[in-house]
Amino acid sequence: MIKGSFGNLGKALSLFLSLLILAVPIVAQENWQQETIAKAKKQAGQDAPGFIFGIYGCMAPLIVPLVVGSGWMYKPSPPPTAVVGKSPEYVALFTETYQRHMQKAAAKWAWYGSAVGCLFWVALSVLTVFAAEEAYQPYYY
Amino acid sequence: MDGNHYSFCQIIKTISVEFTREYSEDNTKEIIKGKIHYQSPSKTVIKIMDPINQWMILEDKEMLIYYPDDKKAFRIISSQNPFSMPFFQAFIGVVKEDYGLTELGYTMANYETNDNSLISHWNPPKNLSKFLGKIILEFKDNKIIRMELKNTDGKTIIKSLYKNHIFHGATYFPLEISTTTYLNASFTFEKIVYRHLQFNSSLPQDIVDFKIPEDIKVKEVKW
Repeated sequence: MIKGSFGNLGKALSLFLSLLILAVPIVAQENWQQETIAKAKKQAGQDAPGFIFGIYGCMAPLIVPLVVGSGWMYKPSPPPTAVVGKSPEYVALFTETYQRHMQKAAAKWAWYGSAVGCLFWVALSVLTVFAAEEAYQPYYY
Repeated sequence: MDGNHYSFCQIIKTISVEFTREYSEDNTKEIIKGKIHYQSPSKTVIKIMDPINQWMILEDKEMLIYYPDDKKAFRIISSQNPFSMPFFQAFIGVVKEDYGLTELGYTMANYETNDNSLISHWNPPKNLSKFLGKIILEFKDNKIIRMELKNTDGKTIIKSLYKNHIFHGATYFPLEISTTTYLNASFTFEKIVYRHLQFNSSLPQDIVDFKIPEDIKVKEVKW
């Protein structure tokens, strides 16, 4: 009975070690990818050009945030210091994440500017209509 | 070209230098070692040897990243600013007496002298004064020893210290540059040590004639 128990324990230990050997590289890879994504997000947070896209959004409401958010025109490059000495897999993932988060930040600011721009145009339209009504003086005889 | 740039190109045609870069952030430390080859006016080739075999070629608005062992390459093209490696720009920027600040639109606000040291304070361009703070340069015996960039509240956000200078032409080049960048709740630290510096020597032919091998597919990133 004791011999059987040791046999079962040995089998369980072998199975556990086998799973560990398989799992460690997978966990390590996921950790590496998560760290790269976190670094890219942090870099994008530091580099994000907020104010200027707010101005663009104000000048062309709705159009600028939609274009910027689509990623069609705005694809910022990562700084060279962020990718120097890094593996090709790191460079690919970092660049993709960095661009996506820079686009999101730029689009967010463009939407803020767009809201201000829309308010401006609505106010201008209301004032124009009001001024036109004031200028129109019907004559009563 | 302005006078400073022209004289820089006259003095420096090529630079070759080995370097070690230590970068610390959030309790992690990275060390890379390699060699930089610079060809005036705007081509920089950085050959990384450790921890990975990587070539970075920066020329105007194109950055090429090549991995000879993995047979992979990236071409990153910017439609706006040309690419440069800041830690190497800090090294060659010393050729200009004002560290290139006038070219960037900065103006000298005042200066003070003390024994052999000169401390100058620079104001940012007027149109960017709401976003950029002042810069302070400190020279001692004609060697740059400190650069500080402040934010609009007057708080230091970047501080660079320059040591172990070598004299060439009419300029002292720092062989050690340490830079601390103060972020909101943390900071980063970078230390570059240069050695085996060569000015105006012939660059290796594989650097001068470098092209990505035709059998390697280049991933393009451009905007």
